[in-house]
Amino acid sequence: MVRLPERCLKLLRVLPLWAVAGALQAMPLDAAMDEATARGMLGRFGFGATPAALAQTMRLTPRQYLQRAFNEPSLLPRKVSDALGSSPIAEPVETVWNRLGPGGYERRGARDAEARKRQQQQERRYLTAAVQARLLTMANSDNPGHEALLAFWLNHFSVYAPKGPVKLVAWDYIQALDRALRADSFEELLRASFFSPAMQVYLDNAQSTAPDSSAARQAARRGKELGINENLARELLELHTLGVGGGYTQHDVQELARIITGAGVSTPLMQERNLARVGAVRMGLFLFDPRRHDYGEKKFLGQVFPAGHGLDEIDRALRLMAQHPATARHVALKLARRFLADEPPESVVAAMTRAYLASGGRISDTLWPLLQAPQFEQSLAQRSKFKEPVDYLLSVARAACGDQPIANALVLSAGVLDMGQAPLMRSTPEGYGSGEADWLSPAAMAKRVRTAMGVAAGRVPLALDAAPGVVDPGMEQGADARRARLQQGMACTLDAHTLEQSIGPLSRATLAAASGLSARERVALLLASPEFMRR
Amino acid sequence: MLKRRTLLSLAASGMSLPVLDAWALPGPARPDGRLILIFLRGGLDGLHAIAPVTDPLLAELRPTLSTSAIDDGLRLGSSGFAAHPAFRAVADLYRAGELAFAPCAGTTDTSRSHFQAQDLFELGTGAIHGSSGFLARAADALGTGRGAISFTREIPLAFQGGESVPQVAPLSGSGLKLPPGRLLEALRSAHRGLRTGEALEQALATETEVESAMTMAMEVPAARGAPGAGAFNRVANTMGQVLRNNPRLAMAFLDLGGFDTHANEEAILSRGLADLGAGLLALKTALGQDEWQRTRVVVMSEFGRTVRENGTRGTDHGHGGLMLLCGGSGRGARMVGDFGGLTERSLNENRDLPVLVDWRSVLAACMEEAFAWNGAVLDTVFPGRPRQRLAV
Repeated sequence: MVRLPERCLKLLRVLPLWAVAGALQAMPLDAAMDEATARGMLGRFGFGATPAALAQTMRLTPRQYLQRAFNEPSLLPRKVSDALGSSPIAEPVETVWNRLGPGGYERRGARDAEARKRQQQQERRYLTAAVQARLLTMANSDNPGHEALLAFWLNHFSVYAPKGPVKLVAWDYIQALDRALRADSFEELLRASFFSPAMQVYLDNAQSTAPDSSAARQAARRGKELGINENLARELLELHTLGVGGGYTQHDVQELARIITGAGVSTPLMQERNLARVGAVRMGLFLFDPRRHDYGEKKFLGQVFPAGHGLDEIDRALRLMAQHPATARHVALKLARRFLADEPPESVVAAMTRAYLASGGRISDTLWPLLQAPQFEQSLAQRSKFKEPVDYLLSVARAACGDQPIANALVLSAGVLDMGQAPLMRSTPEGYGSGEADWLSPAAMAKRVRTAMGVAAGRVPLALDAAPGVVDPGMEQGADARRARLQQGMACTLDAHTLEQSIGPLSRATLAAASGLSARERVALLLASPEFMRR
Repeated sequence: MLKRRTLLSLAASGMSLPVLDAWALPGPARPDGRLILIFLRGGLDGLHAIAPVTDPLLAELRPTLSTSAIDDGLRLGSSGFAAHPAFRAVADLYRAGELAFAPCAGTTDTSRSHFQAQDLFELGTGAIHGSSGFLARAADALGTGRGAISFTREIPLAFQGGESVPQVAPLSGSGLKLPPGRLLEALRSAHRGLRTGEALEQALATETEVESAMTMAMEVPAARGAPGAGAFNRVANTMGQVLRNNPRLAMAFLDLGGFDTHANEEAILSRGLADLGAGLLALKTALGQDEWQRTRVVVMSEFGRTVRENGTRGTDHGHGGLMLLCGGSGRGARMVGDFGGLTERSLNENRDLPVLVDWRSVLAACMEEAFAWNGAVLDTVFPGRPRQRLAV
């Protein structure tokens, strides 16, 4: 839980340049991109340029680049897609859940400490596989805009995958948001997140029960008290939709918590016959259980929710939040901070907010004013965003490998975890910040310099085949085994042209610093240069 | 006599009042002190850590969560409070006269949002936006002879926006060490004059000062915690060694997560409190007796939690919470500030504990004592702080 609006933005150490600049040029949205713009877009809405990506992107207009990002799935090199096909993520989520989830037969069967330990190791495999599959997809996608947008929304609707059985549904969550992203609608993303087992479990709503519901009365007869848990309701308002200062009250939080009682996950212990009898509704592993729902009247965000409603009032509440003006503003500001500048100009945020409301929450429509703002073109030229750790490491990998497959998931996951960021690994629900103040620190610089030195020296086997099975970068495996795995295999073949295509023009200071260095040292310098730290 | 709450609200309104009783007497100043701040992110349930077991309402409001403290809690003198059985280390420190606690402390936050409350705490001005954190301002006030260090991976908001980039030494993962040579010199020159350059220079400076102490400490087998021990117990020893070997580091910050206990709180806090307590003892041991004597450790969280337990054996976001003050230089076993009981009348919005002690008063008093700062310096660190003086 540490921050939103992203707290870096509270610190105005640098006056934005547009505050003092004169007339500015806006980027033409419907003209093919020149090389500098294409490189800028691949950095801002992607993980950096490679020769092939640059050539492909220069055939597109900025509008087409983003439309493709919404509409088209990512294609992966054969080597990578084969590896994902044999990963634990390829197993159907229902099978995994019925086996290892709450009430699952293997979980119930694990009676002694040894069996429980084995079960926990299995659970961890699914987590590691999901995080690594996500990183491999981002690293190798032919449609990096799509992956950058998906990363933004996975972080907006952040779940901490290591929490309990969330491990088992982490990949399911990624896929659910991926599908919703293609609908290009905030409401669809909100629904996908809400109706996911991952979010229901992560923010404790799967257990929340109306105190006077039939489930609570039944539990009371067994001497067990069930009640409301406000966790998801609060974060829905504060983080997912209206935002802090969005005009809701503690009472709204409590009423929303009542509205969303009954939402949760199914477990194999529930009997179909009983579920059908009480009118439970299933959507995948999501379950609406009327026996836990509060059917009383509620008043939420100024509207009366009459008594007697179930799942339909959850739909109503989600729509009300998705279409709320405070949500429009909150989403516009967050997008602008991630894709424009840590302190975006108010005029652009206001235009994006209007576009959101006018389009009923279409993401692409919300982004057009950002792309068309003169400050956007300028911010690309100035590389005004400091790269987050995942994006930094992926851009190093892409610059180093060019268009060779980046198949070593372990190098990626161990690398980003060491830098303090990984998909679905933020322990608190506000997600990672995207600002410079969130990430620029002495330790971060030391790690980036070391990474650049290692890659330049060919010590980082980015291209290694994903071996059968999953190697866990966590605590289970011995440090020696991990080191051995990291050292075997191969580095990508670096070439100076790919690197320079990826970085673009260098500053005078960087050029001066590079003179007198060996070829290998020059590569390290470029990968850790001021230019490459930013996008 | 004035009720304490009235006193506080008068104080907050800027009226200056004579201080009325013992807990509010200023202490003797020691300019060579050290302040370590441990911030628990997520909202620690103070009533679970140190519970008012003599309050008859406790069992009623917390039918499952109060049982361990009521049955097996470790009584803290005649305060009416008992430490959770997993928090034995804290009871031991209390009994040794090295720990005081404030049960109703906290910030002026009313949002019950983690993020807003944490920002409010870290900025230290009472606002949720600002240009610098209070530790950054305090580090500036320390001057050149003394330094501050953040044992975190990134620079926390509390340390942002000061004159210089603070020392940051993450206690886990790889350190800061970079191989010297012409490549490193080239990198330094490429980044010179940029914010990335400041951070790089600070990494190199911290490396020479701290890294060797850290490497030494990490090689001590005892630094690796027992199986199942949490993060703090593992790193506290390292932290203590770094501080002992670098006497000029007068201020240190560390944050710990995992305290947002909406469900299954008993299990989560049994581990969390054991880890926190063991870590405090490990820190004391690593610092050694002499350093401990000049050290003050403050532990706090962004807010406390609901007084009633929720429907999932946990608690939701509240207001007033627990603050711990420990170290060899404190005034020993006592309760700081008031506790008005658990009746509806004493609660904030009939839901949470009230905040009777402002966090800035406690931290300002610690700084005053540790660094012999006068009111003017403290005003730069905590502008607009309430005029409430505490002896800590």
